[in-house]
Amino acid sequence: MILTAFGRLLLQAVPVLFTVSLIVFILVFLAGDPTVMMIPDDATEADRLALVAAWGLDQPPHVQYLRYMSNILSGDFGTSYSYGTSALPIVLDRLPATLLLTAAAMVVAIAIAVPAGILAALNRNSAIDLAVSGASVLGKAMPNFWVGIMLILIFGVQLRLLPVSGSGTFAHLILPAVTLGTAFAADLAKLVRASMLETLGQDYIRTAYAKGIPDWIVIGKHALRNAAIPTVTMTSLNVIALLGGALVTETVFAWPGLGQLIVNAIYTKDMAVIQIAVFVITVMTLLVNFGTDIVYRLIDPRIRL
Amino acid sequence: MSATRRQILKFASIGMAASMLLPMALTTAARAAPRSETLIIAQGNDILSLDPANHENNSTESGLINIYDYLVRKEFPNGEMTFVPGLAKSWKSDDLITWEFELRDDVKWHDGTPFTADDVKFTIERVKADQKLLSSAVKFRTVEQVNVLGPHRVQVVTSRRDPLLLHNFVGNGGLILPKHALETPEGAEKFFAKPIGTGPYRFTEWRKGDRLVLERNPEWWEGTPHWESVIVRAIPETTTRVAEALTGGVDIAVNIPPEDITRVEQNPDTGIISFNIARNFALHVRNEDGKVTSDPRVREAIDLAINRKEIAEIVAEGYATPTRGLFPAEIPGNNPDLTAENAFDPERARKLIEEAGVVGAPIKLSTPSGRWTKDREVSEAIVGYLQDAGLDAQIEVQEWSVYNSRRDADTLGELYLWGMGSYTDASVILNLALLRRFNPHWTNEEFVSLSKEIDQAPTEEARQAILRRAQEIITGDRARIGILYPKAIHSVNNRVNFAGRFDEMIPAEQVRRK
Repeated sequence: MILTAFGRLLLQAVPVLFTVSLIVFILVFLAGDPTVMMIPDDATEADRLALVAAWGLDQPPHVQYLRYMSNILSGDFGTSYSYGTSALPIVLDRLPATLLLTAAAMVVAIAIAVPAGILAALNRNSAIDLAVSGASVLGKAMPNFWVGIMLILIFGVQLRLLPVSGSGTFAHLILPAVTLGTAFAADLAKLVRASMLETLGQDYIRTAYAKGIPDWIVIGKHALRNAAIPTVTMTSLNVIALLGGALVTETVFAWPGLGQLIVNAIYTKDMAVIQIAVFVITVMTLLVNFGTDIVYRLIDPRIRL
Repeated sequence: MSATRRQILKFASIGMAASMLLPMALTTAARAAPRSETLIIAQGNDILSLDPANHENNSTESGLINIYDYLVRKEFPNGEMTFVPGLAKSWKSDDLITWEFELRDDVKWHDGTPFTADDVKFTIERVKADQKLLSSAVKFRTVEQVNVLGPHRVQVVTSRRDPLLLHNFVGNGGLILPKHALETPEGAEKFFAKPIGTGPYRFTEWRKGDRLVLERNPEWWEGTPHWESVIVRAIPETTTRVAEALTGGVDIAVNIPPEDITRVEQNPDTGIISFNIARNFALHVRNEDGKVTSDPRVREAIDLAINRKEIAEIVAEGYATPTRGLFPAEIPGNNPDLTAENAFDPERARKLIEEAGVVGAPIKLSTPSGRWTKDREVSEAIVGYLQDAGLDAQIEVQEWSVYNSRRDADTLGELYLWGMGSYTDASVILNLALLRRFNPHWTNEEFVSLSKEIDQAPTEEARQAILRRAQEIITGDRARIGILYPKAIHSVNNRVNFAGRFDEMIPAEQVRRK
């Protein structure tokens, strides 16, 4: 069953990747000539035109695109204008940092949101509920860059407990993961609360209580699992958003992820890097969607892959 | 089925944990020298390339000069740029066409291979041959031949008299590369994955977007390098860079905004250094027919309306020198007469606007934001002065890549701010093709004839006189209106000594422990 679904995913990937590559090519092409950004200040127009010719940018757009696609099919993903080397390793070098930050942020978000949402739902209209709702609104209202800078100033500069920026150790991961994770936790907690409230009102929950099943089993096994579908959906959407790079958080913490790379590539119209980055993100998105479908199936066996 | 699901969930959990831990395990694998033996420099952006001929970026060059060496070096004793020996012990040219360089014979590449004249020839010819290399647009343009006269003697022949040949051997594209390591079947891509140079530090690791890590080269030809390890970090966010400086996470942090200077100075472990750099802010004026700025009276009014001293004191908080000039004093051929003295005359500016009959005329000043320190704020101040003078001045803030594209397409406002920099000589002003890129509609007969005379100048004094006159003409006709020479502002930890350099390079060997 999973293999069939995976085969379907592969079939789906080909037209998606093709369409994405075409859209990105058109957009980057429309954005203008990359040599304007590359050439030194003291170079002349003739120098720029020489560079245009050297990179084959004087060819008609369809020729450029066909050449690009045929190169990809033969395993050549193009050369970065900015870095002057193959684009694929440049993008793949950044992927581990992005995956790590995404995973850590999700762990933070889930660790905060799920217990908070359940607590709020179980204590509806109580002080706990109000506190969770208030914290959710606050979490959503605080901009990422502000949270990041505040965390740096408190834990990095004042208390000197954690490194200010960079990557390489677990300690470096904490502040950016908390910055991103708290923002997602805000949305997620509200969703868990709402889903739990809906589930807790169902007949089968009342029946479970009536049968004398302990509370923690009723909540943990029956209510939470049935309330999990929307939570999984939102988590997967957030994961997809993060795979494109959390630009602001990456910039604030000098975290070497995909976000900074892509934005710089867009500024410099570095076509090969943009294309490969979008390719990689598209593949990751397809995989996340596939993984989400599997999780749906695990949570609710009635759902078919 | 439930057992299967549990197994899958367990597998997924292990996979997720592994996906988190594996990259961390990989990134922590790098060995580390003790902090006291490590110099850490925080730049505003990552290095772009390990190929010295394929970037146009000061931060990149500043990292690479620790790995590779120049043939000759530029230094700034007494505020004047001079060339001093590098890999070349000496050089001479009687006619400014044929140049001979005597190379050091005690230099080895990081792999132990001796450095020879073949490497110099290879480096020059590589830049000339490959138009994809960004330096090929500006480096070694006049070089016609490179002849190896011996293992440590090389001759360079230019197509015409070129008093500026030495300038090609410094700055982006000038660092010398090893022929034997680059001329392999695997080529440049493999070489630049783990490059070797002749410099004081060996390449260890480049974590893109994060840091360049270098280690001491004990075999360096100038002696044992000072630091066991050098790390050049990329920290784009200013607040974070300042925080790293305050906590001792980095020893030098570049480009501290004026508003953070007090915080850095009040911190017991850090101080501020500020110094002149090879950059100027100038308004470029579009003067074609149909523009309000086609009238010379309006251009003069704009020049007189701007209070440069106030901009330097208030906007740049004193970290800039007001000027009407285009090249700071350290640059050969600069015009010292183009000062900001008596340059501000708002009454006369208003009168000229009235005389030209353009009171209330719309005029647009285009500016980038964040490309150069305080660029937008300087432009906002100028717009205020132009409004005081009677023009309906508006600011147009553009994202950098759009700004650059529009500059080349000649579609910016009547005025646009440009922070030209990284030059080593004022002769750049007389490059007419370059002039057309920045002032496509301005021309002047005398200016054009000076551009032809410059190559034939019999002496350096005569050459510099031509350059001074050229600056007088272009600023006198207000095709470019000089505003400021900004200063660099860096934070330096008290455990190290560094005074700053006019070329904005930070060679690790010039940063010393106290």
